[in-house]
Amino acid sequence: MDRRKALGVFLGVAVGAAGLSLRDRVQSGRVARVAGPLLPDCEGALRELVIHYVPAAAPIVERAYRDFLPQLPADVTVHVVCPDQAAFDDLRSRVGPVPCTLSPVVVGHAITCWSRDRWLALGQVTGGTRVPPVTLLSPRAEDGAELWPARDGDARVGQDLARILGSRVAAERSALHFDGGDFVADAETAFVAPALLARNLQRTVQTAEELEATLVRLLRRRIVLLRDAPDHHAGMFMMPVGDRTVLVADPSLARGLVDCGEPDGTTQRQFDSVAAACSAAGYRVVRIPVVPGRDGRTYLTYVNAILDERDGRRVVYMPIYAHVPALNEAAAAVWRGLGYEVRPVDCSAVYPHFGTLRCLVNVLRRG
Amino acid sequence: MRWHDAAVVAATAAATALVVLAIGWTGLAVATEGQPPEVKWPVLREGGCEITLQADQAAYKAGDSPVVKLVAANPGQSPVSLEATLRMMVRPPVSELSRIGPIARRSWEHKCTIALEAGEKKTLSIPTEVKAAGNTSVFFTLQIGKASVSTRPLVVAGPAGRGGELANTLQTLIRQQDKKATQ
Repeated sequence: MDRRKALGVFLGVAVGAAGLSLRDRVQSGRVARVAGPLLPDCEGALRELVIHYVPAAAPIVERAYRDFLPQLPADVTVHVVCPDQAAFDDLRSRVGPVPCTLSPVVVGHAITCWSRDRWLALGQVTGGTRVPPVTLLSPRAEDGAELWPARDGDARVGQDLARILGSRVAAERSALHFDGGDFVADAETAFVAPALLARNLQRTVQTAEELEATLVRLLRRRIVLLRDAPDHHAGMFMMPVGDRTVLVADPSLARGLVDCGEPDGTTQRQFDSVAAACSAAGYRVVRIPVVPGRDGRTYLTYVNAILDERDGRRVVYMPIYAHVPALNEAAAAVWRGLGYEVRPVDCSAVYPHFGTLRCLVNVLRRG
Repeated sequence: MRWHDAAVVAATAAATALVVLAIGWTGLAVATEGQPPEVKWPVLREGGCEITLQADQAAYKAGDSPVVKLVAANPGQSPVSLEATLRMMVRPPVSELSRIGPIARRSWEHKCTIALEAGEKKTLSIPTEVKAAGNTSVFFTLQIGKASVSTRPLVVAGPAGRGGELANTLQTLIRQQDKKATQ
């Protein structure tokens, strides 16, 4: 090849590469695609949260948000995903003045009120004023999306957020089926509910080992795939709290505090199996009361919480329930024993719908 | 002569850039939009055999009695006998306001022996003889020893009402997807 053609090829490759880069930026509507490790539940200060709000769900979420939002620090931004501006205005009027910033994310389609399960936040926790980039990893599909328009809309929220929040928030779609609530994590380990294996085995992966390898690659955390656990989201029965400690719910500790009968042997064993798996993974385990309903879905749980760590202090926004003050206090005492300031959030209207505070609130960024 | 040189460089660069863009564009499209296809029916590998768990339909309507199909193959050199348990699980309708669906309940169970000669492949059809309730979803599990696999949820359309209409829409969608998958 003569020099003229060699120079032409060189220039052509450079121009082509630049074109592809530009195309990627324009198409994604952001500065750069980014990905980081799975954001931990228990480390770093809350910076940006995401909740969903639809007026039809007001009877479920209003009290919880009226408790939760006013207690958040002033430097926290809460992105409120709403179908329209009227929904956002409705929420504002219901919660009243709050020190944090409420920012509308109007998506123009139906959604549910459950933010947690829609995506996983992948990004670094950094101190100071730096705003680290975040990638929102959405599941392959939403269960029931074909049946319910709101579930179909939920499947689009990750992309909606990336489009509306602009640079430093990217969105990707995983090949795996999951709910965000299937995962809880600290800065070292992601604990994964057994349901994830059931959803993906022989559908998107061939073996459990393949699933674990995929999760390690995606989440950049050590993976503890629980094999025997309650048939629920991980965030309903456990929570890492820092210092290599995991809080695991224990039905037997509710005995005598609330009239709920004896937990059956299988249920108790499943919670105990989670505790054993955490111990085997090198974690200190602390137990906290829980009342799992006989339907296997309705829990009075105290680990489905939002944790904040700032200025050397740890705060837990802990769900509480009406009519069980002794149970609420016993749970709060456990959190206080771990060095947390407890800020209660009344989730009495939420729990009958199979979730509580952490199911409603997703964390987009910590700093 | 200089004009000629510049034209050669420009033409080569343009052609190369087009090739790079064409390849890259296709590659990026796959990376951002494409996903590996889902496995349609699960396969359980046990005792050197492969057993594929299938349902007779991709979706049902209220009152249907699903039929489970096992496609079993023994590629080995000796006969194999496997004790299998089949189950049909039913998940009741989901409330629009609920975070997740109720826990699935077992509505049918069947134990059988799968006997395969060396090199044999055969299909077993096992009727559940259970009438599926409308506006639910069902899935099937196959367990051999400690190993088990499950099918994806299959919608059972209701006879009437919103859930039924939506479920019927889903049936149409599933049929379209299956048609694409087989093409």
